[in-house]
Amino acid sequence: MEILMQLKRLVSTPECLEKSAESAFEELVDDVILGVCFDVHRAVKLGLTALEDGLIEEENKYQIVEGPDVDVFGQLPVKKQHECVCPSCHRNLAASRFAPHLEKCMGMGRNSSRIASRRIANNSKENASYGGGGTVSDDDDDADWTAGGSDRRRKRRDRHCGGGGGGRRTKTQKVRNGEVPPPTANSTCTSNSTAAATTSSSKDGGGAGASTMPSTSLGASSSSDAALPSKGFFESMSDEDKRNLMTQICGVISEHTGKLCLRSMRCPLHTEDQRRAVRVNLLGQQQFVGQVNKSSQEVEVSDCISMVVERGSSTVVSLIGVNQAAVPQRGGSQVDVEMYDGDVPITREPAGKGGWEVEHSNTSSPADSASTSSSSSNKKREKSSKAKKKNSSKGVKVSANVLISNHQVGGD
Amino acid sequence: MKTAINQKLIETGEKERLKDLLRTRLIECGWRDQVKMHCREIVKQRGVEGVTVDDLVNDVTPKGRAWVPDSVKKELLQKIKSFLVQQANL
Repeated sequence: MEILMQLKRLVSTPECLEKSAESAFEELVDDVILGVCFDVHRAVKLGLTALEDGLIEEENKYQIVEGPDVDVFGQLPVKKQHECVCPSCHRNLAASRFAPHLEKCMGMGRNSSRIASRRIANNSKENASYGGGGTVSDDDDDADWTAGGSDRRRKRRDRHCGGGGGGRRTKTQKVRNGEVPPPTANSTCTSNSTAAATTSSSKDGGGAGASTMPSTSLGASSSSDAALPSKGFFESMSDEDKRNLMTQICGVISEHTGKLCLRSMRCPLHTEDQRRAVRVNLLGQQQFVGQVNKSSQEVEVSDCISMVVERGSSTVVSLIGVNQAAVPQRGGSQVDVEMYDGDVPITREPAGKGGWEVEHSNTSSPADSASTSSSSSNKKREKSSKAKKKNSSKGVKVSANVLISNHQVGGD
Repeated sequence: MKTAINQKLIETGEKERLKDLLRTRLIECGWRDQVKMHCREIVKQRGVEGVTVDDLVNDVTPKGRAWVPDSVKKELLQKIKSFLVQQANL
């Protein structure tokens, strides 16, 4: 009741009413302010405010900059070139010039002259070791060499003709200076494969130095038909022929096909180290030591090396097939060679006949198939009869066996 | 005098209603954010550890009172007056 009286008194005068209303309002506002202060204080003490503020600081770094000569980030228009150091010659290079420079520097490019210098170095070394093996052919970086194969193909064709052509030389057969003319059809028919191979190889061996041989052989081989393969060809090559071959081709065994690389010594795909390793494998100690008795060693490393001649096909004679399948090791005196022509793995016949087959592969890609002339097969065999070593890590299985090199040589 | 009004407001629950209304209105007009920013500035000046609630309240209250928009004030005053008159005539 008392309150009521008071209220009435308050309300009666407008000023009083105004005042009391305002005081009530003020109290309400104070309460709200207190609530806000509590909120802020709690947030600050808990560190929530610091979280929000952190974002604001980062913005300063990436603020958009406006200026006359400066781009949005505040950077000058001319870009700084990234520099890098060449690993081989240790020069500071601009990033955009790095790749071409590296190509030339490491000698891996198309036009890099490092290959030439490498070849010269290789030449001098091989000349010293082989005692003046054949000259290096510069011409065929890309071409497969079918010099010997073409001769053999001619011979086989002659054989097939059954002597119909008689003793006539074929049109494509040219007699080179100082060489024995190609044998007559009769004689080739009668001779066994190794003999045929060796005769052709001997003929070619004399002309091994001719750098133009590959090109002529190519032309010849492409026109000739491929006949049945003659086996044991490569092994029947003499040491000299093998060495000659290895001085003329790159010779590194490709991991894909297991065949010798038939590019020239300047081949950019392989390094000198690889070529040296292959030569060590194929030719064994002989080329370096020079005193190892051939008969005592007689170990054929790359049984994988074989020459396979495919039927009815084209230009390339594959020199070397790598043994990629597991081959049971036969008796110690035999050489196991398996050929792989890129399509079908062909298991070789027992090594009694000799390890090498010559086959014209269908794959005409020079990189894959290693082609060589039959003339060089003898040389190859000689070189192989050395160290027992696996050629490459991949699929190459070398059944290192004692080569019946005597047996092979008998075909000479 | 004040206590009488207060008492009446609380008894009837009108104070709560009025307070809610005031809060809503002040948030709508952005008053609350304004006061919050001010509080944060005070905290930055004095450092996080050195701030108490009392400090904040003592600093912010006079400014907060001044920042209340007139429209909000009038509305609330109107409501209070009508309440008082109503109560007086009961």
